[in-house]
Amino acid sequence: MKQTSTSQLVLIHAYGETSQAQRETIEKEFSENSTLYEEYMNVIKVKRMLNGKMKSPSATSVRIIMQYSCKNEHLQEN
Amino acid sequence: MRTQQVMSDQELVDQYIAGNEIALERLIERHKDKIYTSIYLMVKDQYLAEDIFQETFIKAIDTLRAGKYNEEGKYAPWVARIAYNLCIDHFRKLKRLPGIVTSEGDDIFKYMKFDETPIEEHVQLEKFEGKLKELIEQLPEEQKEVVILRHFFNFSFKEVSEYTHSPINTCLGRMRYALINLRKMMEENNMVFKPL
Repeated sequence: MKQTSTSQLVLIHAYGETSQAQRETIEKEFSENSTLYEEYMNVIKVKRMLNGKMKSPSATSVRIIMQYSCKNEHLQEN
Repeated sequence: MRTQQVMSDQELVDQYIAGNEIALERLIERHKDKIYTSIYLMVKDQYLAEDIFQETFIKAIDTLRAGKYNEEGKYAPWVARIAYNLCIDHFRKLKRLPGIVTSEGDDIFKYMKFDETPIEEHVQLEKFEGKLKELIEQLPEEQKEVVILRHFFNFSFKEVSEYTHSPINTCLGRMRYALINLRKMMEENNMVFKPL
């Protein structure tokens, strides 16, 4: 990866993609820079907000998939 | 013996391949909202999203049953890639085929109802979930693409960079601005942040 800015590192960290070395760097930065930690918490908050607004497929779709699976298994047994 | 609730995706995949249908149900339950939302945000049509969602898992079942699954430990990204590729296939077909529309000019898919949600509940759900779609729709196209791929399809930033043919730092920059914009929009819309 090319050189990554601290803000980009915050983002990578929030999405769980940091290496051990990057994690150590960013955690040290957090302890010394409260603005950066606040930026990280804001990313986490938006992530949670987006996750809280997921749409669900219909029960019919899930049933169709399960029926397909059962039928498929039945065919394999024969 | 470990219960299925704490089993990893890989353990559930192994159980399913061994013939345990409940394991598949658990896998679908675990990932359905993220996969469905990703598809929905891409195709922007509930009924089409349902079709692609079904097709995604049917493809996954066929691959698992055929013994061709070789994504050890990476079940969720694998299913997300199937869903993404099916969305792309849909857009490719759209370019080739004329749309099927009613005399009022609406897409015919909108009339193919199969959702069992009671109508009152449906209206409330649409209001709530519609906001997410509206917010994401307001983002510049390049930011929207990165949010959908990274946050919903769960691609790594490296994969987002590959799929969008953009340098990884550009993708990170777009994602950062997208999240800043989303936060502002959420605040303007009085959307409450969950306590941490």
